[in-house]
Amino acid sequence: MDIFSEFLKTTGFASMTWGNAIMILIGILFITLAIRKDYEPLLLVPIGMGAIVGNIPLIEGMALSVYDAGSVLSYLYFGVSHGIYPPLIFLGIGAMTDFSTMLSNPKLILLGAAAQIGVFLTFLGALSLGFSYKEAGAIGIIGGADGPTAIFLAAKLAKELLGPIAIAAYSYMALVPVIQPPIMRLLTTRQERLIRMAPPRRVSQREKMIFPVAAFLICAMIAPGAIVLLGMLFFGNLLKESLVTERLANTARTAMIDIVTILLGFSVGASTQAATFLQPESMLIFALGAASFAVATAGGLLFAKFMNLFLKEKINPLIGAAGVSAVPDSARVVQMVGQQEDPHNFLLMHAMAPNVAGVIGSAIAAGILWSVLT
Amino acid sequence: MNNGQSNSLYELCVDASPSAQPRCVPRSCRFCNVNWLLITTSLLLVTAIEFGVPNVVQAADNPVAAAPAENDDAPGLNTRGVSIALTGMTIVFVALALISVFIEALPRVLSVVARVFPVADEPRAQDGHTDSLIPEDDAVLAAIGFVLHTEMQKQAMTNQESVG
Repeated sequence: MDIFSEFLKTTGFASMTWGNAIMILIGILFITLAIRKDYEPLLLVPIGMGAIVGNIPLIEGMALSVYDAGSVLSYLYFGVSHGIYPPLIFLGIGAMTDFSTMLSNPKLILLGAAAQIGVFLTFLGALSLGFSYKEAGAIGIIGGADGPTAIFLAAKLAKELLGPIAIAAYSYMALVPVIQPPIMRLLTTRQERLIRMAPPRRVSQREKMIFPVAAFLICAMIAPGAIVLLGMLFFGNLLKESLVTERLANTARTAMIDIVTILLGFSVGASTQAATFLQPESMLIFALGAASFAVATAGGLLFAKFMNLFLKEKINPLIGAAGVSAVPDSARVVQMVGQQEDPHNFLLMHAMAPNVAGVIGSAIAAGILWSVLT
Repeated sequence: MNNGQSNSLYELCVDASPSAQPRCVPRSCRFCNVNWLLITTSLLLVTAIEFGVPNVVQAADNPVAAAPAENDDAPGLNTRGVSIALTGMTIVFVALALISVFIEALPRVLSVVARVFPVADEPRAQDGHTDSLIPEDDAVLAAIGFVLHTEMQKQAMTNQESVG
């Protein structure tokens, strides 16, 4: 009987806290949103299941959680805590990204830069709320709208905030279709939303091959902190565009990115233990994350309007919203909002230019923050 | 001249000239775009050099310089935070503007290189091109089908005549 009562004390029911229960419900909510609403299912399902696994109350003396040295989950989490998974994901993203639209209209790259204002204003916002410099830098990068970049920088600058930052970054990426359209409509007139843009020019294969190497050299020389992320991004793209390593490119953009996404999503979810996750700081991080997405969207839109003051051939300011690097969701949102005004206006290809530029911009911003704040 | 290839130097001169024929003028004046981008980049570079980049880069490289003043180290919005934000934003702009300038110049550089080292047949990308080969293939197939159909009809007529 004593053994039985001892066993009962070790079960999850005995040591379950309200925090654990809430986090398990959040995990179930993520899975439900992914299945029912199709919100970023490739990420929310692993994160949701990870959150459930990570919040089962632990048995004292047994190494089970991601934070227990020697546990299986801690080995999976190693790739997150040491920033290994994000560059591998960037390799896959590079191998599946077509930079043609950006190469055909290079001035649109500046929209990807303008949207990074969300990163730096959120950094200032976090500072004003009392976060340390490193924490503020890690929180600010949520405005880059790039999950792997946010995880990478948080792992380098503020490991203790990695869980909330990763969850905030991926949650808001999933909510891009909800957050962006009202801001887009608020900051543009109907006339502006109706602007049609000329189709992009044809880009030669040689341009596509030279671009990843040259762009990497430019970025790495200016912001060496970004070489890990950008090196992998452009390496992946070179695999794709060189046309002689199709097998490697295919592996990078399919099997490899899928495996890393599973490991990253699950271990990030498992790191959201109630004791570390349900803190007032997490709520502040979520609020700052939402603000950063809004500011980044507004920054891109307003800069597109600013560019139109000087351009003879106007650009549709809606594509500025795609400067946040949630690829390709924000570009899809631009297409959707544009077609609500004019069903025959196809902005998707144009929006992909600032969209992929945003990926490069957010990686550069992460590199800068890492090098300055370390 | 403007036969779908929009990356020759000649075209650049024609585009830039006010007396250009309408058929030679592309959708936007790329010469103006380069100027626009160059001006933006130059302004950003000057701003970065004058106001922040050296300080932040030195601070990152030099541990002594990296140690902020006592007041600046404290959490909260202060001069150091604002300076990091402004400098960071400027560096992002400079990097992406330089990429933009490079991309704008690349077709011209390639066209010059192609004159010195002509490329016989450039490999084509599998995607990203607007002109697919499929419609042409369809047209060829349709033509072959039409000729076959006509020939077979002629043959059938001849057979009927010979039978008749």
